[in-house]
Amino acid sequence: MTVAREGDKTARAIGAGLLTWILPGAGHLWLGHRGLALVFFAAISLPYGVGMALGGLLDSANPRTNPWLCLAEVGVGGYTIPAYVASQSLERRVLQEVGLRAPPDQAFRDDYGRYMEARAKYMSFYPESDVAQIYLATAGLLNLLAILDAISRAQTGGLPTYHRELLAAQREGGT
Amino acid sequence: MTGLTGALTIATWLVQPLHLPTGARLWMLLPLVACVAAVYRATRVRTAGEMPWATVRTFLSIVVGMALIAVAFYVVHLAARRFF
Repeated sequence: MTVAREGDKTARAIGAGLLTWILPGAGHLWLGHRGLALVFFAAISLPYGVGMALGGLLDSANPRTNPWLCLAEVGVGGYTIPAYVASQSLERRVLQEVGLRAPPDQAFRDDYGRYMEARAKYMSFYPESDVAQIYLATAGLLNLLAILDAISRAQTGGLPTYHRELLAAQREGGT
Repeated sequence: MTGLTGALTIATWLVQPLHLPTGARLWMLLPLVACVAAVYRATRVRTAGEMPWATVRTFLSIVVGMALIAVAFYVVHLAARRFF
């Protein structure tokens, strides 16, 4: 009986974590925390959307041009996977525009120049590119916190990630 | 129709990057700090109802802390220019 209950908890934790990875707040909504679901959804989707709008799809979810940013964004898989697919499609469109099959090496100056010129209208430059990267990376990392919180709430029956602090504060306050 | 227009507008924003107005870069800190404060606080409360004041306090702590760090760096910069 206890083993079955532990199994249920694990399944709920995996489900909540996975749902949060796909859509910020979805795991909390599934667990019945509607208010927190709304907070997580808004506080993670907003910076992600702003970052993507400032950085542009082409480079913001492109592991070839910015692998570390992509890695940080993987925290919000439900947004980053479609963005990656769209980014690759846009990259192919740029290559078609200049009649190339793959991004050229910088050594081939003519091809590289034409390629970068075609690419430029979809690219973000300083200062927007800096702000975009900070927003996107922060959104991805914040969703990791949201995933941990959803897992914690699924395992403890509604207590947050840092529930030990919360319980200690309540004991000190006598509540 | 309105939905489709909205979706196309959003897609255009994402394909062609938006530009920030001059001087807006520093102010972009505030919404991001608000989001960080909200998520940080959400991982420390039982329900969303306990969040508002704690989030405001966290938001102010981060903004004031970062402002103090900026001032400290500026003072160090001035000192370096004057004495070295």
